[in-house]
Amino acid sequence: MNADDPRDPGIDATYQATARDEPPRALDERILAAAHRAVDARPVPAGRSFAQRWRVPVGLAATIVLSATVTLMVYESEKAPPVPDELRPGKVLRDDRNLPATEAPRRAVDKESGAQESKPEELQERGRKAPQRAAPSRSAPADEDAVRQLESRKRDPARSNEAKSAPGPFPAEPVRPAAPPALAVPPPAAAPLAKDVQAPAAKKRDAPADAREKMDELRSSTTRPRPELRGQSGLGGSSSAAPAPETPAATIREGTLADRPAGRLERDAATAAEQSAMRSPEDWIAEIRRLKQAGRTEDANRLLAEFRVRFPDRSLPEDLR
Amino acid sequence: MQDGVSDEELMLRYRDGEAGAFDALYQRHKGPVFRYLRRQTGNAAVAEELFQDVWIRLINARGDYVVKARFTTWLYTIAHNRFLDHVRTLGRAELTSFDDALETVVAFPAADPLPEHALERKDLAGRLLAALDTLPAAQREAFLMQQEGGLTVEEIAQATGVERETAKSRLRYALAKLRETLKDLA
Repeated sequence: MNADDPRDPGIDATYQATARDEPPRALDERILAAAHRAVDARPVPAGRSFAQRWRVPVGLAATIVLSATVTLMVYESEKAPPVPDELRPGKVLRDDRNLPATEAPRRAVDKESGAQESKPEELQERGRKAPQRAAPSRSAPADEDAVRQLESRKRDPARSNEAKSAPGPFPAEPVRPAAPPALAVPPPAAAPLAKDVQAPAAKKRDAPADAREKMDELRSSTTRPRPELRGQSGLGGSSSAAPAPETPAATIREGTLADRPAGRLERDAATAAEQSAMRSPEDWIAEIRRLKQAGRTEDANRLLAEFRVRFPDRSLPEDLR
Repeated sequence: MQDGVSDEELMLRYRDGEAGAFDALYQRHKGPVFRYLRRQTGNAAVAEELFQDVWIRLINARGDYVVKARFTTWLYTIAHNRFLDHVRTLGRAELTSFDDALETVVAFPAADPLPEHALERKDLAGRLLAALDTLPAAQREAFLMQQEGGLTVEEIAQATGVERETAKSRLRYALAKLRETLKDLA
């Protein structure tokens, strides 16, 4: 018990003196029998609480592993040597190191004309990284056709393998632009989220009006004591007994409402908040399902956790477990 | 046998299949929970029905039980939810009857321990119960949870699903109104 909790020792003592009501014995027996039957009939599966205990850690681990895998894949795809232009159909492999002196100038012109596709440094780098791809012998231009055919045959398996992983004819180029969209969060997804978040807020704004109507209705009902209460106060029989308890409370309440509209606004807000707290479990489950269907798993999980706290006795439907 | 064992430990034992642990728990809490429901509903028959449902729900939910808070908070959360279901069934909006207007707090006289005043105290107790019945349901609930369940303001807030300050003000207004109603007996 906290020291700053509102308490009144006098009221505590008086109330505790009245606290003698107990449930009937028959009811006790029914409940105890039900409790024993439940234990005898169906022991609680131990795996269930185990699964619940490990659900979050396993989920986190899976997320981390998945993220690491994707990151590694992106990293590897960037690090891997891009497929040179020579692999393109109709192109000849170029390796200036093996070319004769007369051929070198012509190759330089070729390089310049193909500068848009790849820089000379890159080509040299590619040549170093994949020396096995270079033509074994190209001593004469006349041999070019034979070399081309030979290279084509050599390249075929690799090309077919690369073609599987790359959709376009220039696998090295599309990989880079393709990666960021796959990793980036699509901007439209944020819009419905914000919209949905605003929707309950709008509902909340409407809540005070309903609450005010209920307040008025309740105010009139609470000013009337229950018939059984009248009987109780009558049974008291004391000459010093106060009149019907509604008189002071009702007077104060009406006066307060009329004099302090700000107070009423605060009460309305409190009432609106209370109404949201009164939402039925079925509404909660429907809302969680809606969020899950909308793909907002995080929101759904958050609501689910809140649901478990608010309704610890409610078992969840299979699809939400 | 189970005297020195905490409620939470008993519930864990019951979850794990020890039926006797439930018996001990039930003996400890049956009276307070029953009175909480009895005073909230104002009807003994309805209170009995709700009381049975609360314990059946607890029995059914035992497999999910983990110690996150005091057992009493959990128990009264179930009782609160069952009572709300009952209110919804009746189509009443009783729980929205909150009146947090500030009122003059009148000091309530401390209980007199002298035996010759027992009759007067009995009358006082009757008056207290009658006054309690006129409170808005949420304020009455906060008061009953404190008195019967021994819940703190935080635990009342958790069990009823409201903010701590809301629970605290409900409790404060409940006490103020009870004092006000009973002040002429001072």
